[in-house]
Amino acid sequence: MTGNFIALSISHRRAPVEVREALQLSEEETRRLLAQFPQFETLVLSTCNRTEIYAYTEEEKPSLEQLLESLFELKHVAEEQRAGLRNFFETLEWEETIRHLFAVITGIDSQIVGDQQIFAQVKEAFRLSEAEEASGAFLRKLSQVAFRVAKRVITETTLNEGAATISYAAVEFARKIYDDFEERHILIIGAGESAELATKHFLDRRARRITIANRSVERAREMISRVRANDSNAELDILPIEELPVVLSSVDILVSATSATDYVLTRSTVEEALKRKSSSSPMVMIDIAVPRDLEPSIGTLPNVFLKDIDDLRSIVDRNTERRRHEIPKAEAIIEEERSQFLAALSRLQAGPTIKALRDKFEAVRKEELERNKGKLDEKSFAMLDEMTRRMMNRLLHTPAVELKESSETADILARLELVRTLFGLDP
Amino acid sequence: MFRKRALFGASMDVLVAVLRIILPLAYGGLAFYFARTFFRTLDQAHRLRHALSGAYFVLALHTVYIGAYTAHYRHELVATVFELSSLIAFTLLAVYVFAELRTSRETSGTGFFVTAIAFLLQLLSSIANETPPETKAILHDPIFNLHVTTSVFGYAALMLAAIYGGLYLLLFRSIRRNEFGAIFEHIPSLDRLERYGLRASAFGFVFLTLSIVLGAMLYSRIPLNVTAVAFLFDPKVVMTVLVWIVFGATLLVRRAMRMEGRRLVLFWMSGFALTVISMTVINWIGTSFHSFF
Repeated sequence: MTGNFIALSISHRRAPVEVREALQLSEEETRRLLAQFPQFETLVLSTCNRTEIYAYTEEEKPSLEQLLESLFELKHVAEEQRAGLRNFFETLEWEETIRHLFAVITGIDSQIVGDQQIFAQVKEAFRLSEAEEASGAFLRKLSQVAFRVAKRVITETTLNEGAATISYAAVEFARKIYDDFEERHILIIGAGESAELATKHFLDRRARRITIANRSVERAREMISRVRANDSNAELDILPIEELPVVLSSVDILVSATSATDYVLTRSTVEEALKRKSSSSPMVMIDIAVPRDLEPSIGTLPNVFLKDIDDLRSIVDRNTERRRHEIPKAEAIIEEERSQFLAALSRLQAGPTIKALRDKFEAVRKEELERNKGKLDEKSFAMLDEMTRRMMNRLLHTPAVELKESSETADILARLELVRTLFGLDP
Repeated sequence: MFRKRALFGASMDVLVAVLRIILPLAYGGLAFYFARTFFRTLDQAHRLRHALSGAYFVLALHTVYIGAYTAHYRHELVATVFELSSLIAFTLLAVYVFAELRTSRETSGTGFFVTAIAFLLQLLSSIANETPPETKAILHDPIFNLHVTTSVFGYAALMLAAIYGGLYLLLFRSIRRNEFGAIFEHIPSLDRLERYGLRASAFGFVFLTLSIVLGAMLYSRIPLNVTAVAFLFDPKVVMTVLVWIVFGATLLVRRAMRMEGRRLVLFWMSGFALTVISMTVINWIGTSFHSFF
């Protein structure tokens, strides 16, 4: 097959987080890297879990070393560190590269199996490649197939269903009690990473009223400014943690994720709040902190659903296991699409072979006609010209169709090879 | 004229006989579809659209059956237990479509339970295949037919409210016990179950109100051999009024006392339990529907 498609990948499979962080690319860096290989069609994908460079060319095979060195240069990796870092990289060629890209976009290669964010990230990578004029016909066609694969996996499997992280499981658990967050008052205690993720998930689920309670009001404010980018319509308030008992009676859902060593809320505080509550609707309390923020006996109060990180872990484990069971289905879709994509590429290659075959036949026909031109009158010559042209067309019709028809890539390539050899089409 | 009438009678007879076979199959098919959505073997995007179309189709089929049956036998499906069970299947599905399916964003686990019950009721009615009895004159009275139909709708709505209530309590218990299995996954949220249950209760309340009003109208229309007091203290009248009060109170208590969640569900479930217990007792003691018939 003409053309070469390779990939250089560093991901969670081999590299620890500090290595991945060191090589993660910003959008600006991605653009700069794309601009470095005008001779290739290039795609650069960089997320917190992976940094990958894909390169395609119809000419000479791209040099993996060249790609790697460019990445190191861009990230200012010291010479003495480079040798060590090389061990974390995987290199892929042709069919493996295509299969890998499809596995990445569907989320089966993600750290959280079935992660849906990766689809948008790969889409963005293709968009950047296009914007930087690093894409060509091959990558455009590949992107169409890759997006189709991802969509098929979403609709034909349950790979993306169910929460697979603790913060998402917390939100999904709350949805089992209140499925519409628009009318609910949500209280997040803490302003760390888990609290921020939970807030983002609530905003994604159209929560409109969220209060952030934290010891440091400044940190809470910073967190709000980060999550606000997602949704500016929501009402996000800050509450000093000492004032928690005041708002508790109006809260429907509470998520606590602080690093406090003592209980942030005790049973008596919650009991008091429940007495002041204006309705008998349930109160959902989710404690994702370690050590726990909420006194466990709160869970025995009527109309209170209290879950801690272990409870949520069992939901996550269950979902992760179920997602893993879906991997073979996703792989079958990947295999089917990969095979069709390669067959389509091979069919494109049939064109030049058929043309060469026709040219060869035409040359022979013309040569024979010329040799006999003097022996025939004008009318007979024209008749013979027409007759041999029709004969040639009829004889070549079936081989031309057969060369394109097979859906198997290997079959098409074998036939092309045979025809080229039999008729001496290669120079 | 006579030949035309005979031909009409024969064609209605055939239509009723055919639909009697088709209806349980249609309900069974719908229940199977909902079972597949319940166990998530279908693509989510197509579930609701197909479920709603399927439910409308079965309702249309059943409407034709009721029409043909009424035209042929000159009374609605109200004369016997088996006729009533077919009408309840129809009303149960109709109320479900209007209470939940039409406004829902996705098919929920409740559809499976509702259609399974409707299927069993229709199957029972079709298998019994009884010859309609010699009907009393009152069965031809339109007000009487409306009275029975509205009360069947009312009780079907209350049955649906009970299904929602039962599922609410099941899910509540699962969450409390950290049982995150099929119940947790496939049944809609507590909030939604409560909302649908209230909607079904409101449906039931409206239909029972109509039924009670129509019953009172009947008393003044039909010469019954009972006093007004005996009429009012007929066990079924008393029970219907009681159930009506319980469900009316559910709706009222929710607004006035801001009762929500499990307490509200327990309140309406006790109303349904009262209905079932008193129905059973009254039917066990009595020989006809009302004491005065």
